[in-house]
Amino acid sequence: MPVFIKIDDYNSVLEIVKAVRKKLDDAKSTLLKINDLKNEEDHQLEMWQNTLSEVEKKIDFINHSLNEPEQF
Amino acid sequence: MGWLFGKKKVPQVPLPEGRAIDDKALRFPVAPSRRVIEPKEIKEAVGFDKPVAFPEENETAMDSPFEPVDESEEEGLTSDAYPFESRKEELYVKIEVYQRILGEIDLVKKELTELNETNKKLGTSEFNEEKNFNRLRKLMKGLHDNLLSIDKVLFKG
Repeated sequence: MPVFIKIDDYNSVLEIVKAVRKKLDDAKSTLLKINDLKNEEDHQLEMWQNTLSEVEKKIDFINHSLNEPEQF
Repeated sequence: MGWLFGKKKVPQVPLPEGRAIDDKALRFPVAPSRRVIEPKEIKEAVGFDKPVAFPEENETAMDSPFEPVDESEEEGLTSDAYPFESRKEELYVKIEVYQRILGEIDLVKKELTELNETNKKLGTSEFNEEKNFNRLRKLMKGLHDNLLSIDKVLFKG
């Protein structure tokens, strides 16, 4: 024999579920934005790293040039 | 002690014997008590901890967790998404579905707690990132100043 549970305030439960769904959509949208920002940040960091490597090479060259001028 | 008070008089008229009365006949009828379940006791009341053999999951079972309703009643619905929204009548959900909903709510609560922890970690991580970024900026400024000094020295000569 099936047993049933009586649900009082069914409409308010539906309203809460609706609000929760809206919040979930907002959270998903925010997460997408954060992901985009993170990708942009990663890109900028990569550029930083490349530029830093270039600077390092140049400093090495200057260092070698100053320390062993006869080779150049 | 019969000598003191005299012989006990026996009534001449026989006393009515009376009828045997049923004990239950003298009791007030007990109204069927309506058991009120407090929110804290819901899980216990529906036997949430007890294993329940759920029926095979299929689409139709999940689509209609409520009591079946006559098709003629459904014609008057205003919203397809919430078929019981406009009704004032009492609504009942199958206990299996109810237990499942309680279980899902429990899982959601656990997942939200985990997300909260992750959020805290991310907050700390962002703080560290900001700190490291400031340190990097200071280092680059120092590097730039040093290069300017070298430049000045080299071009001076």
